[in-house]
Amino acid sequence: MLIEWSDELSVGIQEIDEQHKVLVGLVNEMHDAIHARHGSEVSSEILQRLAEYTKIHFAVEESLFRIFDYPGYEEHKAQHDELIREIIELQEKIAAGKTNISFQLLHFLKMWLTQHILDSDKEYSPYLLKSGLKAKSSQAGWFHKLWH
Amino acid sequence: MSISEQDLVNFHESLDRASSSGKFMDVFYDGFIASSIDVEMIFKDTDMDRLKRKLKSSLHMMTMLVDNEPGTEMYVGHLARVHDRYNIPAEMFNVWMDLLIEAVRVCDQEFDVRTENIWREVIGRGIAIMTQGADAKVIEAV
Ligand code: HEM
Ligand SMILES: [Fe+2]
Repeated sequence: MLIEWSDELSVGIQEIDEQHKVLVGLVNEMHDAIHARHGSEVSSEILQRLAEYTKIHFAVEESLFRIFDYPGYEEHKAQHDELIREIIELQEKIAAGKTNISFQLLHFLKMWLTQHILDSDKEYSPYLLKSGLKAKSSQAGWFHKLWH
Repeated sequence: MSISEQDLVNFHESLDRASSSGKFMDVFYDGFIASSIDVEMIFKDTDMDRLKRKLKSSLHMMTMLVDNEPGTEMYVGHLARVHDRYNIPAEMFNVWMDLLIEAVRVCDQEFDVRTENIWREVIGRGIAIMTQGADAKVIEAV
């Protein structure tokens, strides 16, 4: 396992934690696939799922920022946009046979995700909670139902 | 200069001493923002408290770069792209480093020439990646 989930990574909002766990799970799945030498098709397919889920997750965070008028919105969105841009470019390069999925990439994704959660996501949760967002969803949220 | 394990230990200790002074990031950013109108303009909309916290983790990251930790070069390349939209001239990165080291001098009681050289070497490697032709670095590092 490349990334071990720990309480340190929790932002204190259940729905967001669940989504972060899915992202962690996908990076770990890609790591396992590379270790098991499953071939580039398998890892590209996982990267595709990671890209899709990441976009949805970012959209969820950003809509919460808008609803609650989070002051760090622009800066946070810029970080999301940059990662998405890089992943898309990477997928294009992979499709064109110019590069492939490497340990460098996996470790980059690990660093990006953990740094982003620790430095940026943990910044918004106290604000959102203070503004009235519930820490726990009483039932699995709409997002959970859609995805699983 | 090549960087030894001991140098990296010294770097971390110096960073810890400077950080525990409680004013390291303030001294650095106050000095940097005051260094020119251009720098001041670039930071005009920035939440500085947030940035100060982030910079500390990226200073640790610079030592991981020296250690050739996998993914770090790509991460610093990504950081460079995050800076692209500000069109920061290369000289400003040198000012950035000089003033960062000035701030260490003020905040680390045990600062000496040797410590300074280690800081220049470690941070210099990060800056080299930050300033080399900005595009597509992350992708190239794959
Ligand atoms: C090696 C040198 C440098 C390092 C390691 C560094 C590090 C960082 C980091 C970690 C961030 C936060 C990025 C994020 O996650 O959003 C950041 C943002 C930023 N940096 Fe740097 N930086 C460096 C040099 C510079 C220089 C020379 C300037 C010139 C003015 C600069 C201006 C900025 C600005 C304007 C932001 C964005 C703040 C915002 O979002 O409002 N940085 N930097
Ligand atoms: Fe985020």
